[in-house]
Amino acid sequence: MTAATSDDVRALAAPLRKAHLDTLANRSHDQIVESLSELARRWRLAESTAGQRARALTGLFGYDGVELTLTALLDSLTPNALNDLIDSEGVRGRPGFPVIGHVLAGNTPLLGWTSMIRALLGRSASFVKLPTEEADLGAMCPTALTAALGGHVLPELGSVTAWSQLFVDALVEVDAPLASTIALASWPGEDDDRTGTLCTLADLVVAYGSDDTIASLAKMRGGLPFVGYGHRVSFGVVMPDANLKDAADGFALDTLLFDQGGCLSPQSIFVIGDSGRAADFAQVLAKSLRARQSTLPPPPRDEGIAVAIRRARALARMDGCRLWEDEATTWTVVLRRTPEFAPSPTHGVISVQPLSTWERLTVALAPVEGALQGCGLTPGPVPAGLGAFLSGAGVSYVCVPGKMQAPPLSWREDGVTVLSSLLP
Amino acid sequence: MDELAQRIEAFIQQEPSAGSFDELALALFTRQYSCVEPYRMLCDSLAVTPNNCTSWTDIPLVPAAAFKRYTLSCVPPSLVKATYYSSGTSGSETSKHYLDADALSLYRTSLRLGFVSAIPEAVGKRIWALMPSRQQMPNSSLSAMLDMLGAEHFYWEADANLLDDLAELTEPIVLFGTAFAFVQLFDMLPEPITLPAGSVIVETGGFKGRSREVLRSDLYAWFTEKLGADPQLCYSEYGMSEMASQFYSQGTADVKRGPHWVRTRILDPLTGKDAGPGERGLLAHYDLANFNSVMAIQTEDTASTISPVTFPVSSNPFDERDGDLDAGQSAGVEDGAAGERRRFVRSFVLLGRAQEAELRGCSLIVEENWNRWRTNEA
Repeated sequence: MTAATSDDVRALAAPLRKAHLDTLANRSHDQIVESLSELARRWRLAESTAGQRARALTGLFGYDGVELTLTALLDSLTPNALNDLIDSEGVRGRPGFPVIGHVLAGNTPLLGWTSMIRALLGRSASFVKLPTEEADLGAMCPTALTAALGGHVLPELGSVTAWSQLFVDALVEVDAPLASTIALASWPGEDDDRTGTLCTLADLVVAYGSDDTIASLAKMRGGLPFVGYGHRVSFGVVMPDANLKDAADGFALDTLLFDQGGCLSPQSIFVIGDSGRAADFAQVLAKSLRARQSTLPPPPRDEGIAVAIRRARALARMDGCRLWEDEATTWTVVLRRTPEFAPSPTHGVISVQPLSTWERLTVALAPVEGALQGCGLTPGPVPAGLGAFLSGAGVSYVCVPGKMQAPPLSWREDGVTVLSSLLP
Repeated sequence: MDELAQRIEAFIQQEPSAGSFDELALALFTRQYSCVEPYRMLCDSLAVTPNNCTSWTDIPLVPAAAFKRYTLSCVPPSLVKATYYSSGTSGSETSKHYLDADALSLYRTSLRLGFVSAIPEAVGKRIWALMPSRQQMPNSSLSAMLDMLGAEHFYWEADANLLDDLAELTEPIVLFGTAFAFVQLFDMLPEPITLPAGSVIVETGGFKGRSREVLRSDLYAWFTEKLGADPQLCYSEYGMSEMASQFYSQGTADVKRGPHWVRTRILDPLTGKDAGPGERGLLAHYDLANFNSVMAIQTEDTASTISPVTFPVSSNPFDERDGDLDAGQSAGVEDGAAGERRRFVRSFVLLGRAQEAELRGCSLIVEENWNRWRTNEA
């Protein structure tokens, strides 16, 4: 799994072209859909060994923290949903690139799942570079470990690496030849040689990461097919007729999941109404965060994270903001008077801001124009014009509070098509 | 001079009538609370005001990053006499520390007394600085410091005169520069030289974020090997543009010690409480010489307390009446408002910047300009 050199990268990639030819090039979409939906069925019914192992994962990306996102993804893997996706994007029967190189970020646990599933539906083999910070974990294969321990499942730290491996293992259970079209590998992200080799070998590269990472990889590709997903931010809107308690419960979950590290994690919540309503919501949100915190895995906190949170808290106080916070650094609610989107250091720091009308979102979101991703919108009638505004502002995912970390497979991130963008 | 500034100056100069650290700190807090609006907002939000703050340990700490975002000054811009900027990476925000006439006077007093009491061997010796002069970099607190200390020469941008001047020395000097500038000097030296006996080396700044880093042990070995310096006459200075006072360590022990008008706590960033003996934490300084801005600063520099005491026992009698901290002690405790015991330190081992925190350091200025010079030369 660990690719120590560029030659290792080549050696891992070499069988993928043959696997593509043998397994994917001539396989129908129906057959691929059947295997993926069977994987989901077995997982849901606890028939999957990999699925059982997943329940032992702990930490921020442990099973409890990932279940909501995973359930939404599994719900996208029914035959009907998959066929709808394939047909809606007009990719049925079309050939895919032989090998897609995936460069994953480490901020959300199931990134590997969605990226690999999309590649399979595009009938491409996958070479997956796992996140840098998990390079050490990458050397530890759950399958091998479990086998060595006579089937005994060890508690393991959840990670993009662990979840990606579990997907491959689950696929082996239902369709080993299909699983053979996937190779997982890890090496330090700053290693230009190995990353450059991947960029040279792959027919298409799909990458997730910071804007700098995306720019660097695009440069390495030198004009060859490349799909990059860079830094994005999300927000919430509490409409005038919303139930504050329900909204707060949902946004509390959206904020705490993955320690607010996902591009769909809200950083600011705009409360339509006067400042008093925003203050009321902030207070209720704090209460919801406190309650929800106890049901989720405690987020990792090290010196650097704690410093960033405490700095953000103090500076917010100096801005004249009102704060609600826990004694540790798990969550912080900042009630701001200013309407402009307030970037968060993440790690549970969420701003609540009053807006007199939803039309003021145009001003509030101006500082993050071009970097918007998701919007949590309280249920109820959507005013004429709001949907069009969100779409025009680049918001690619709108959902009710509590579902921001549960996008379906069909979500067009950054407005990019899910499958057709992966085809020649 | 403001009456409170006079009392603080008297305290720095160890006049018995000056009052206690606690009295002066609380008086200074009252002043800064009333005239620095962003700070007052912080304090109000924490519900700590001059009315209920009864111990210096309860004075709210302002994050060092606040010096980048806000104008922390008790006086209008027209009364600001000096502004010191922090060094930073290209394009990054810099801290701005505004000093009015009283603050500048206290800065000068603090700097000079702190320097001579920490480095008595420097007294009466000429000072040469390896850094830009105040004229070249008027907003650098480091350049201003050396100017106030009366540095005779500033050597900058690989000044070839430095090697010639060093070779002609007959009397001991104080050579004060950034760590990186010393490394650049060693790179320039064709062969080792021997400074006149009794010469003092003072390095500052570190290497954080530099293209080239050198182990502290190597640097100090080179002071001896390449300059013939006595290891016991090699010092390290730690300061920040946001503060008016400095800390020094002697030799390779690297135990930094501050003056009696600064109290320091080491706080666990995870809990916000005092770190235990020997534990790592963030430095929080309470500097009476920070007259015009905010005296209580939460840094993002990490340190640990020392145990047992390794710093030489001070001969300064002022230490003995400084709270319940005895001469030569590295740490002490004091009661907080709620009756809890709070730990403070006079000596600490600097461990560097907190992970993921923004980079800082005077060496940055040196390297950036040095590299620019090299590029231009090429």
